[in-house]
Amino acid sequence: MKNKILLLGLLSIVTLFIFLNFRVYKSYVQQQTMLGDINNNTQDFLEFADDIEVDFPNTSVTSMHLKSVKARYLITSKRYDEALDLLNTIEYDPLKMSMSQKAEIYFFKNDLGNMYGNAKESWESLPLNQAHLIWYLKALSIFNKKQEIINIYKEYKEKSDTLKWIYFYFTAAFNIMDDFNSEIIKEQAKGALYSYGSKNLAELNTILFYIIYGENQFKESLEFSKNGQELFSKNNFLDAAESYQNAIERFPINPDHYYNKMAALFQLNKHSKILETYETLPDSINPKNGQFEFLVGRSFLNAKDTIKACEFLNISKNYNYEPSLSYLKNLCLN
Amino acid sequence: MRLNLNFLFLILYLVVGFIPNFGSVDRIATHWLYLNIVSFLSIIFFLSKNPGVNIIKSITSNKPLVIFIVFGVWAAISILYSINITESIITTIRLFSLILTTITVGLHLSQLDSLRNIFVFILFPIILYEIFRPTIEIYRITSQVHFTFELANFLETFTPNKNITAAIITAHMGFFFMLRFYLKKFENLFVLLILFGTVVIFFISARASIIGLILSLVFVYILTFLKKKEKIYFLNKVCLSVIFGIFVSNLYLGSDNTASFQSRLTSVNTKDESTNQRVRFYKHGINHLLKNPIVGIGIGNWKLKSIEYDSENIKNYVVPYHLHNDFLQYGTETGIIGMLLYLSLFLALLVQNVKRIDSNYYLSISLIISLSVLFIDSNLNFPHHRPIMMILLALIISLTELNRTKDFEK
Repeated sequence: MKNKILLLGLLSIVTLFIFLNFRVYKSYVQQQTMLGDINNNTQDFLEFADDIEVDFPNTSVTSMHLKSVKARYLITSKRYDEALDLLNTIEYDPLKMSMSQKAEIYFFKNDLGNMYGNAKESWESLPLNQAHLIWYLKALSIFNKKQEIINIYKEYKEKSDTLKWIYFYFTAAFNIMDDFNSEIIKEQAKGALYSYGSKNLAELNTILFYIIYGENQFKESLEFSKNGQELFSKNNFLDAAESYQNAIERFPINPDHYYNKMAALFQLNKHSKILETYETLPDSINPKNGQFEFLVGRSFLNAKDTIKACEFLNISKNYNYEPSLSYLKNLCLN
Repeated sequence: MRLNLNFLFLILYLVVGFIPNFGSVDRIATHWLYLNIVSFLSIIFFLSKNPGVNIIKSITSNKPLVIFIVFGVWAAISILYSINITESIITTIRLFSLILTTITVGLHLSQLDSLRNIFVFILFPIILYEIFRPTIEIYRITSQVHFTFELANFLETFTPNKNITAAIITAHMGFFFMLRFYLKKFENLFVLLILFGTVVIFFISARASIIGLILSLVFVYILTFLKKKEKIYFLNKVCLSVIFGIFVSNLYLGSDNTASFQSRLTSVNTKDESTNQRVRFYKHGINHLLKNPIVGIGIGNWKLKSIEYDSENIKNYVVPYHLHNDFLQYGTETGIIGMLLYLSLFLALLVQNVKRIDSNYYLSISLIISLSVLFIDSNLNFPHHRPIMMILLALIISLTELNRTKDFEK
């Protein structure tokens, strides 16, 4: 009898557990799509937003408050008041995701004072978070707090190794450049270009180029480069080389301009000019893929200086540039 | 053979780790629900067919289980002061689901005449599968490229994480001792499987499992030497098999390979990101525990509190979800009493099994190895979170009770 009573008691407990665990399971199934949406910046769960479980559990497997996850969809649907009401009911949110979202809502509602307060608190709680950074930088830009923006990079550049974080900082910094701070921001951008330029985030590189050389200079260099290509294709190598030189002068950190100029000069058999251009190529931007050295080597060959040619072809080979191998094999002694 | 429903229920419990996600973002939700459903059916079964033992008495006489229940109650009390009550309720439910599982697994085991079928027909196929899935993967990879640490993630196979795979294999390898007891003529096969298992663990390069395997073997070697010297022959073979496994792995990988034993152990230094992270988490945990020794933050709440401690290092929303030390994490959540209760559960299990080495050598050694591996894993990872690991704890508690009350090796 005692066994039966105990077993019945356990049965009722486990029934309750099944019900509650099923709610958790259902939420985890929703989270599969919702967290994917957050990671990929998509909105696949948007049409089911009203059905999101926010009470049991109230926290995602990644520790986000599920009310914040739901609010993300409400904000997308421009249901700002609903989103704000929902976010205001969150009691404990150590990630401060809700504050960042409130900053976003207040921005759209043009309540800039509240936007600034929420953005500041959310960023201070999680300084390496991109979303928090974006809204704080936006708030600082609106309130023209230039020094604070610059200080953010000084303080956190070592800790944040995510390129997007760096990108968002410089996007904000670009918009606040003036006579007083442009040199500081340019120096920061040069440092960033040196550290992250090779990591191939095109939009980061572009914003860094804009900051360092100015938007107009950069655009002009692209125009000269395009013009150089057209002239090259028409076999007008002399003017092409000059056009590439103009591109270099406006934007001296793009190695492609140097290479294109050298290629045009190669067609003209201007050996000393090729060498001169190669020597002006800063080592920091040399892609070290062996292409430059191969061209210099072939130029030396044309100039009948086999020893120097082999020297450069050997460097090219060391950079794993395959075309140099056959030249080395046929012309150079090991 | 007449179908024994107790046997069937034990199969259902022990395969929990192989249940798929069914759409869940983390398979633990599916696994906890599955365990509850099996427990529900199991209780119905016992209601229809009285187990023939006084259940309350069988619970209260099982000291480790009593400690586990007290720990569960203590954790449940923490709901009262929890910073996120819902999270605490969910974790408490999971804890009590496990306690319930332990009780029902114990009852099913007590209904069986012998443990032979459990080891031979349930655990042995499971271990075979666990060893051969990654072994096949190793063969597939090494036949195409030279194996490096970067490829180790391909060996996770039947779990979502390679460290869990390695921990499960290592912990289950202890059961070869009991299999050797029941199937003596297959002794050499078991030694060979231990060799394969060792190679898998070393290719996975899971440091916690490597340390667990070596330390648990050293520990049982000392115990055998001191208490049951005449049984050391098989243990010698096992140790040689493990040493040979290490040798073979290193011979293939080479000492400068990122996956090699030397590389992985020497990477436990201050430059290693994963080590740095763990040390940082431990510091946060210890600091929190020292400041709040009696009342924690509430069971299941470390994943929230840790954000405050690690906010300067959190990139985007990647949070330190676990402390990577279950004892310390329970300490931060339920205070020092909770931590000591969970520690004493392991201690009680160890003491009971050590005491029974004289009577049930193979079962005791099997359980001591599995328990030691689980203990070391609990100190370096977070097995408490995963039903695939916790079902092992439930099994160890139930088998330890049987080990205490019955003589299997007469």
